[in-house]
Amino acid sequence: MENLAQKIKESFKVYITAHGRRPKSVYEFAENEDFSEQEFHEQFNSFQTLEAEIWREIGEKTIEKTQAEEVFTDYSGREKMLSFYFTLIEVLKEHRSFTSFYFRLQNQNGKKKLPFDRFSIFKKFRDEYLEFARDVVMEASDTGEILMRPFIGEKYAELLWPQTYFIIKFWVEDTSDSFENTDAAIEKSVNFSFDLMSKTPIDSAFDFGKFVVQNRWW
Amino acid sequence: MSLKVDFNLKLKFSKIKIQNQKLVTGYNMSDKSDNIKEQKSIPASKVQRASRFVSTGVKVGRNYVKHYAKKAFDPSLSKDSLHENNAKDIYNSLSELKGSALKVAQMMSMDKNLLPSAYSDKFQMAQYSAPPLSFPLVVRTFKQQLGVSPTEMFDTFTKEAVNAASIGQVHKATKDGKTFAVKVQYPGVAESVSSDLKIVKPFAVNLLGLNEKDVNYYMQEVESMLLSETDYELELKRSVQITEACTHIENVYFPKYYPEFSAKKVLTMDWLEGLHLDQFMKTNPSQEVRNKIGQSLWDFYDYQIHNLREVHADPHPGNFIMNDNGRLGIIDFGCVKVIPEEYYEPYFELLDSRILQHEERLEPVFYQLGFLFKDDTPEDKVELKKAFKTMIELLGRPFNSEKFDFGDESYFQEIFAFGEESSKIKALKDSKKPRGSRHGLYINRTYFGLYSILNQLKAEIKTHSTWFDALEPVS
Repeated sequence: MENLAQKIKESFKVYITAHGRRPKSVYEFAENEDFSEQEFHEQFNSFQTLEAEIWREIGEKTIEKTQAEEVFTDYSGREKMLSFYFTLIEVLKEHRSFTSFYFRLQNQNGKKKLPFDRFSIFKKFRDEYLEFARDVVMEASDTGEILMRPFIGEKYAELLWPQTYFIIKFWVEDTSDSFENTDAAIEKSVNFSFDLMSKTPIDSAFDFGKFVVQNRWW
Repeated sequence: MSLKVDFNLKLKFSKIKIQNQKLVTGYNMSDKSDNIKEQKSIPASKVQRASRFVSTGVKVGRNYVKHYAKKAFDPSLSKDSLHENNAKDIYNSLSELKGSALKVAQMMSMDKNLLPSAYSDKFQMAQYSAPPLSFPLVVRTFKQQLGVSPTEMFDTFTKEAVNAASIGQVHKATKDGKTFAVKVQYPGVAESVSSDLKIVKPFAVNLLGLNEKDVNYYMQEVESMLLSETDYELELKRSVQITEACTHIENVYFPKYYPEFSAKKVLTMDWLEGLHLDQFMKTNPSQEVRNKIGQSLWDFYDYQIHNLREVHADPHPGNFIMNDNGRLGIIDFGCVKVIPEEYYEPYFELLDSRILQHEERLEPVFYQLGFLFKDDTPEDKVELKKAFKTMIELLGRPFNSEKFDFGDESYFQEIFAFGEESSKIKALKDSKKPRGSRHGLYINRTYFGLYSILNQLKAEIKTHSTWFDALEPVS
């Protein structure tokens, strides 16, 4: 059974890659494959669940590969995050056309938009990411690399997530040799987000302001 | 209570909607049509880079304001402190840009006579340090280029870069008891060369007081040289070639290069033990040792220029490793200038002091080298000829004696003074055409670099040149 699910996922990726669109129906999709419509439904209740599963798998694979790196445990939080994104692009490289389908807008009734609800398709991927990111953030705050601020400190992982969209989208549109610009984009965006999370002048300003207010010094 | 929750939910929901709308319009803008995409991506990064320079410009401007405000109260204040402030700001933004801009900074620091000394001191730091690449990116480059991570390939591999090269950084690695230097290139350098140079151009125009045409003419040369520097495969080939051809030169040694650990963006060679020039000088080496090193350096360059007609055109101190037994290690053959025949002949002919005294023989050579043009006015010609003659006499002086003491500061003072003076020569300043062949750019830079290192070494050496051996007597 597990094999069938895997086979359906692979066939679906091939279908998107070849056609640049989703199959019109499960029937159409199963027609040229050696599984039936019914067998499909035993595994997945819709294309959306299937897609969510494929993306979850991409996330899982990326995290596994990232953590398998020998030096991973020696990395700082910033380096762990960088490593994650470099690996992500490496993993996605096998499915570039498939990936770009989820990041290219399409013409629908004269309007350009995504032909599906990306939020729900990426939800499981996001969950995998958040689990990884929370660990990274926690460790980084233990070592003092970043600053846990009240309220937003708990939401760091969630705030980091949109970066993933940005990086994948950047890569999908990157035309540079061996996607060098994406490497630079990753390096810069991760550095930026970690700089924001570490102590900034605004923290000192806030701290100072609070002190002044508390002491009624004006 | 439930009402409140409901309200909150609604609020959240509407926020998400707004966000989604924003996302959608964002995509719309960048996805208008496929064929303009490529163009679009380049100016975007160019704008980013340009804004770096703009902010530097603003800072420099502010430094001027500060300087004059201070000066109003303290008339004794010299311009040195101003230059120093400016240089610091310029350097900071250049080192963030890495790549070709840093390279240009290096070039400017080589030609000490082109820049006020405070600028060049600061820029010389560029030869040693630039903000490093993260280790995950190094790992990624390795995997992409060689298929394995550096820790798999070597027994040990330093996580931090031990040295920054202008377009990459150097890590130290060991394997089977051998120590290696592994150079890893910054991503996107090759792509950014052209756009960086376009940005540096107006900067160079103002800072160096050149006109745009001059700069354009030379920038093409710089661009092609920089592009060849980004190709480590080419560098490997050239390194092997030149080092093999130069093994007979006394007291000079080269690292061995390892093609099996190298690729387009990774270059592995032996780690050479020894010191860079400034550290080496701090150990107070004897005059004898310094002369020995200086002599090797001179012989190495002379052989390349006159026998190979290809020269290691990047003689900055970071590329030489000195030992207290007087041996000299030479690395980095990224920047190699091939000297074309049509340039070689007239250029070195000028080094013969006898020709320099012969007006009628000198003039055609000046035309050949692009120092003079047929349509120059007679007055300009006189002025230009005089300036170029002085320049050639100055730069060729070491060649015209058996021995030359490069520790002689007065010689260098003379060169700097000439540099200052020549920037005031009217015919040169208002020239509508660039003067001097573009091939001269790297040749002159090579000689400047060589002289400057010899000067810092305070070496007295035999300035014998194989070129003179082949010289026929002038009738």
